[in-house]
Amino acid sequence: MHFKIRFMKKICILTFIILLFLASCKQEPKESSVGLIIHYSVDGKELVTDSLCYQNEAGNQFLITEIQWFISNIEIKNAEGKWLPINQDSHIFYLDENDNLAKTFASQFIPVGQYVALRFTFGLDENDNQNGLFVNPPESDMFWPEPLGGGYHYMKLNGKWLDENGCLSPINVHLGIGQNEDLTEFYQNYFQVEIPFEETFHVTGKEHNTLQINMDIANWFRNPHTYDFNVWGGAIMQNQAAQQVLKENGQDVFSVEIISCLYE
Amino acid sequence: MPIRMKKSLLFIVLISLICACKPTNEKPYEPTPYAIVTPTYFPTRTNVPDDNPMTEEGVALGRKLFYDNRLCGRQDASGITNCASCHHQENGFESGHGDMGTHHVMLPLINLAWNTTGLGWNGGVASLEDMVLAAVTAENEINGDTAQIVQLLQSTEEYPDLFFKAFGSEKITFINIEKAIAQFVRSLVSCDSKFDRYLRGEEQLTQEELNGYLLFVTEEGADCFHCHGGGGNALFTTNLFYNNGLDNTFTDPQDRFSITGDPSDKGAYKAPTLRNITLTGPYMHDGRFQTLDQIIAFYSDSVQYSSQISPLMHHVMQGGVRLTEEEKTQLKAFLNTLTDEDFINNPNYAKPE
Repeated sequence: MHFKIRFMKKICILTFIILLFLASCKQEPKESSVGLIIHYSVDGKELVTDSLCYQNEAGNQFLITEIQWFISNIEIKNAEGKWLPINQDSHIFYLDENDNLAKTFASQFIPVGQYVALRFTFGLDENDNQNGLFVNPPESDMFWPEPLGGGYHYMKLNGKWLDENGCLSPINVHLGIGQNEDLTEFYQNYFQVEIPFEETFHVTGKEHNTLQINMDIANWFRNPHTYDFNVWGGAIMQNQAAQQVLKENGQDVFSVEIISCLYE
Repeated sequence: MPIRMKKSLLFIVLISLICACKPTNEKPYEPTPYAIVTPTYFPTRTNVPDDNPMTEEGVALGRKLFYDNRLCGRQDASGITNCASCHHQENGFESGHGDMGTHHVMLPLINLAWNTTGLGWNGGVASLEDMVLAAVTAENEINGDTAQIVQLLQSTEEYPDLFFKAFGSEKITFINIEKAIAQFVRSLVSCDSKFDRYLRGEEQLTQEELNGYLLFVTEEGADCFHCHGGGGNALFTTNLFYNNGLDNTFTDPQDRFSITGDPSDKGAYKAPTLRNITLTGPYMHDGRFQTLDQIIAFYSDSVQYSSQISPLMHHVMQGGVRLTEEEKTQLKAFLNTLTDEDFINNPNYAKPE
């Protein structure tokens, strides 16, 4: 009997030692997941749709009803200067302010290390922006007519502003391929956005990381150009000068916030 | 005889009995999946419910029911009616005239396999299956009694077998009646208009039609495409809801607002497909326009401002898109290219023999 108990004790101790050994051999994680979400604000405050509570740099009171747009070619830059794509499923993402809030629209595992910046294309570049790329809605509803250059709207930002007559005039900030007056020359109005992180982003392999891209709508209408709806009107698909102004204003529309959660 | 041998014999007899009891006339239930064939520029994602996949047998049954007077459940001549009594193929499965006694005028049954936003002008009916029930039981439509209809169809010689082939049971239920008719309606596809043939490189448009298309898809032209599609959205509708400036006060208790409760949806209605638009008048939810000329004149010169108007109606401050008479003619010429003769004459959509 005593012999049996002593034998069992030895087995237990041996098992414990083996488990301890195995635990100590567990490999350090080599990567972490990073997900992207989108957020919308006006002058730093969360967007409230259909509310005439905003004023742009030019003094126009305005409201926003909906935002639909494409973001593509998203990449993250490591401390060594190498850009890594975040494109687990696709490199083009359609975003609708009604559907995408707080939802991860893109995700990717990236190596443990330090990261310093994010970049992406606002809209679609000429390689992607081809007629027939999307046949299903909602993406197909973004088509940009062939006579105006074809492809897709980069963005539909719809709303209304209080015009000089006190009426709520429609806003259709629709960015896409621009044209000259007789529709014989076309201009690419997509642009690349590069956002350095305020602090180095450490990926340790022990956390899930979320990068929140924020679009501050007020910035479309200021810096470097003050955009006055009473001057430009509400619709710009066939107004390349207005599209150029918005393209230049768009450089500081976006910012990024890093949110990390340790794995349990 | 040894006991073991007796047991074996008994076992063989039992097995033989069981085999003999198996029905020999059991029919196989092997429905054939139904494939919707469309051009490459059409959407690939259809809205077919998981619990009602389309089959050849289901579509055929739905077609028979669609045209069958017994769908009303009555046999007195005064009350006899069916879906096709109002949904005429030659009018894109719309009535072709306005006064149907319904709250809103009828919408055509065209390419609904791709509709994802509810049915009716306000999108209040969730599915085609629900629409069948609503139409069959509504007093101002078929005014049928579902139990009577089931009983009448069950008593016929042909229907139990057709229901078995479509759904695996000869016992007819109203749920399966809904499903069959919904399958037939989803099979109604219009994709062979002159404009389709132009998109496929098979036929050229006239200069007048091309000018009309240019107006259709330009923001500073007639600006139709944001709501009604075009070359990049071959359904010729977004299937979404808009206040298009018909009125500036809103009293209709069945507008989009009645479904969503969102004040910005007051006076908003579904943008209908413009496929076969020349055949599907009268136009707008209340049928106020009888002709395409009247519609074009409205969008050109009579759009009304209200705080609820869709932002996409960006010409509202000028009262509309302000087309010249020549442009109106060109736009109408383009709209005529959306008529699909094959659709309105397709024998597969017609009353079965």
